[in-house]
Amino acid sequence: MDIRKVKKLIELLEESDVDEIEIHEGEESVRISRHSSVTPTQTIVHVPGSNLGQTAGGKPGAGFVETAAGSPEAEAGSLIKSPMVGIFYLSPSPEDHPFVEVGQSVKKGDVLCIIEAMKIMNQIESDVSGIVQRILVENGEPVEYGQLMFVIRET
Amino acid sequence: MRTVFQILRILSDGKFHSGGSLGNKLGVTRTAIWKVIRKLTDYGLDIHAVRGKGYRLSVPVELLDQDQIENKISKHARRLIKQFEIFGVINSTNQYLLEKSDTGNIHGHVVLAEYQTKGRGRRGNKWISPVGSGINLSFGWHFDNFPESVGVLSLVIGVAIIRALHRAGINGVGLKWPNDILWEHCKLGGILLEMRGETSGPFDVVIGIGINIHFPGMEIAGIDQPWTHIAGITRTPPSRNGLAADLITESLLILEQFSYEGVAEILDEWRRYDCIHGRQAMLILPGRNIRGKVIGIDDRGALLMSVRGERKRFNAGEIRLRVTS
Repeated sequence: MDIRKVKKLIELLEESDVDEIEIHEGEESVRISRHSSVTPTQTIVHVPGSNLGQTAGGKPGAGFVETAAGSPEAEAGSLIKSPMVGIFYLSPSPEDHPFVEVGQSVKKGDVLCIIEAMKIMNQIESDVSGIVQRILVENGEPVEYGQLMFVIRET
Repeated sequence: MRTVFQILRILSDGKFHSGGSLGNKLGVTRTAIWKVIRKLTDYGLDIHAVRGKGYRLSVPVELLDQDQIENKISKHARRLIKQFEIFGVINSTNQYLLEKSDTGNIHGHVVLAEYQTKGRGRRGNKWISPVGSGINLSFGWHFDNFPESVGVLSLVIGVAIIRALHRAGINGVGLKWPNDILWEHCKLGGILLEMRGETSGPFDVVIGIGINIHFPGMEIAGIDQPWTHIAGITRTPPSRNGLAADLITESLLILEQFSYEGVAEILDEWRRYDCIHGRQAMLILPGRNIRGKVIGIDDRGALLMSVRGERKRFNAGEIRLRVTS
């Protein structure tokens, strides 16, 4: 689940009289309640198949857990999202092999793709080590801010 | 690698030097000299080997000299340099700084190289420049936050290159959106901006500049587009070290101007050197091409084209001019 969505939910809760909301999306669920007396809201994100729990306030755009956008099945793995609007390139040049392919193992810091934005070529690095499970953008396609690009199963 | 540059330094005068005399000077065998000559040929140099006379460069080269360059960089620009390195052979000066940016501060870090084994241009195109024959310059620059106007950065650097060429006495060079330096539709140089990581908050960009100065011949393996070099456009080419210093000076000064004064004046200057304005062209985007007439750039550095009578703006792509008779 997108961290910004969680943030929106918290804001919604704060603006309302509701004490607690719980949302299910596929196999994921999130419960936000204002029961704690210390902090006004408390967030629990639960993702099956992973013991990664995350509270709101994480850094967007990098390696947190959520359901693949537009895909019905939930996926456990690190999600690499586009930090900007631009054009997605999977290889260093049109003639070269792609930086990564599905099934390939990557190390933290390896370049996954290039996004060209405002005439600057941005090398996007993996922030985890693992196996590339899915590549969700085609070479040469435009990407939006926050758009899911890669799913990497951490090893 | 040291021997390679020792020999290149001796050969740089453009005179004949025999394998024996080179060997004696450096205390190596003639076979070792021959291997070095082959290496220099791999690095793009044209070397005449004449029996009984020895080896000679077809075109003399001026090797980079850190003291000469530092002395010629303007005082004000020198204050903006935090670190200055010159390499003989490197994979890519941009790549070197990109990797540095992962762990350290690259702001004001200036890098030059005699030769790049993996020089590159936009979209991974190869950037080919024989050893000692051009400028391979990169430097890092830090921005406290991602300015909306960052899309103009490559145009800003283009203007800096024009200013540096003027300083070196070279006029008549034009700019082609987004990052080409042209002389009569032949490529004289280019700009490559790269970065790593996110575009929110502070970020470091690596600014790469390549200029062809004096190539050994008009047949350079691997270059697949019309190109030229400074030696081909002026009878009195400036010194390579001098031009490197001018490029560093003007780039650093324009980045300061960009930060303090904004971009409006710089873009007006860019427009004066726009050499594709009014031309029929094709904009090549991944998966589609757009035909139209180039009508200039907007105040954020985007390309403006008239496409079937409609004014459109583009932030990416590559322009190919249509040859009209």
